[in-house]
Amino acid sequence: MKKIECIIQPYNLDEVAQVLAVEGVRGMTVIECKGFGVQRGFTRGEDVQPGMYRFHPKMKVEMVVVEDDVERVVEQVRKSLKMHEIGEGKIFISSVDDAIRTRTGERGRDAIR
Amino acid sequence: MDDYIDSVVAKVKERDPGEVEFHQAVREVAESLAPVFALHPEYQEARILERMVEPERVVMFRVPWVDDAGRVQVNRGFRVQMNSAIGPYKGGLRFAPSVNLGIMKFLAFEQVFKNALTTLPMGGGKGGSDFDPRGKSDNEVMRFCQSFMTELFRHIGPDTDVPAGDIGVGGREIGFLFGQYKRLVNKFTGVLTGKRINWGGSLMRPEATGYGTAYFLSEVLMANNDTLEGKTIAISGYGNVGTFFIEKANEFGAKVVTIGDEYGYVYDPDGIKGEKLEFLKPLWTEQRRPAKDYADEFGLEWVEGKRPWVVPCDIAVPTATQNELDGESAKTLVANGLRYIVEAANMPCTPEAIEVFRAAGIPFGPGKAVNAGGVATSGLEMAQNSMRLAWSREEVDAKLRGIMKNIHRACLATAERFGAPGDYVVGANIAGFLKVADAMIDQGVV
Repeated sequence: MKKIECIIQPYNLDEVAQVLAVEGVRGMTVIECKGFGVQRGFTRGEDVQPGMYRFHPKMKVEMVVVEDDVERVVEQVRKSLKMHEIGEGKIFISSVDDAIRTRTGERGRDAIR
Repeated sequence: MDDYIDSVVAKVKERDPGEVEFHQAVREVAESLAPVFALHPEYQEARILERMVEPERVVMFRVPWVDDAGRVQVNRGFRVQMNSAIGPYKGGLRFAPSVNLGIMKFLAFEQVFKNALTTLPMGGGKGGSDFDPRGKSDNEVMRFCQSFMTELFRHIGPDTDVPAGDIGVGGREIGFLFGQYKRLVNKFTGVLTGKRINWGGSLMRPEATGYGTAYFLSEVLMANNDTLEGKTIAISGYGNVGTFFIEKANEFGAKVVTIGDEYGYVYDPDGIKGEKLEFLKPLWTEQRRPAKDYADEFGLEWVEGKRPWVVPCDIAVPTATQNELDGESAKTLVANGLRYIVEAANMPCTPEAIEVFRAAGIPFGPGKAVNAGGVATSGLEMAQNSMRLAWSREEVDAKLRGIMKNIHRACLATAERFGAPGDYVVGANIAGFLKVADAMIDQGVV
């Protein structure tokens, strides 16, 4: 199983949530956060001195899916974000050792189906 | 149009025959509502529309002041408190010689639906005066504002009515008005929005209407599988809304090629950007100078006596005032290849113009949806005032963009639901109407 973490603009949350329509995504967790990337939060041709940075509000959307579905989900997330501006988002993929559905005790792939 | 709707509109005209802009605004909204009354007769039974077209309260007052030469001047002040079903009255103040009761009522009426679309708890109102700020000294403007607020303060308050700016009322005027209010009531409250940042204003408020227009426009293009990259845009004004719209449109990769005022327009084929935009930004909002000064400064073409709608463009965005784009202009734009039009001003397109765009199948964004970013950010300013905290610029910008996306989505979904897919006018009018009408039903016959 893999965890897909998408760090996106807060106003694009609905676009990404529609990825639920993609088979393999049976839920997601969303965290309000803030951050910046390579441009350190400056995008408008401003005069940026070393050490300066600017935080922007972001949403982190986490999904756990089976490995086979990773590429399809990533593709859907990228397609749903149509504006393609700097600061749009970043996706990280990591491995998940196990998953448990607390109500039934199911583990592994069964827990995320 | 429906018999019931016709009779309401006819009564409005009969009661106040001179208020032509108000008739126009009422008619445009009422026309969209036919499918609502058909599906929901309770709104007709409760006489919601009849109540909505009658302001809850109108205050009209004398504003005397003394000019720098020692002469006594007399102007007329207005505050139309149209509807407070979903929140305290909210709407700007306009200082312009054209201001009269009909125009105040049309603006207040539009404001009710616009504010409802933002999802924030704000009712609708508008006010102002026939005072002309052009050519007046700072001290004259200050004395006028102080006299104006000396009457208005009795009728406003953070939970009652929260005015803001509009044409002729910017940061300077809001400052003078706020200072006088505080002197009279001895309270520091969020009674006005558009305040400067160090005494209760919100970051991003100055940019909000212009940026919000660009955000709504980008949603319209995305809904049509298109982008703003490389598009040519014509606008008509260069005030608060126009200049910040240009800034954000440039960021999206578009090019704005015209600005103007009631005397004519400038054509800048390279696009208004960089040092030219920096020169333009304070030209009206701070210096109150004519648009021609921009043409003179950069050696550009100035066309006397005409509106910019004769210039070929992909997108037209009227940013100046009501009824500035008529049927003939609309036909010219369409013939020159217009693809989209969004109204940044309040009711800038005449009914004939809107019909031309509709017949040509061109996506048309009505002012009450497109320019709602301004009042939405005023709502965010009020929220920050209540919390006594300030958000960062980025937080306000992200919230504004989210609000504009939601407004766009609500207009399209509502239009779809009521049998007019893709019709932003119907979507905006019905979405705004339903929110206010449901609250009015709950609150009894008041």
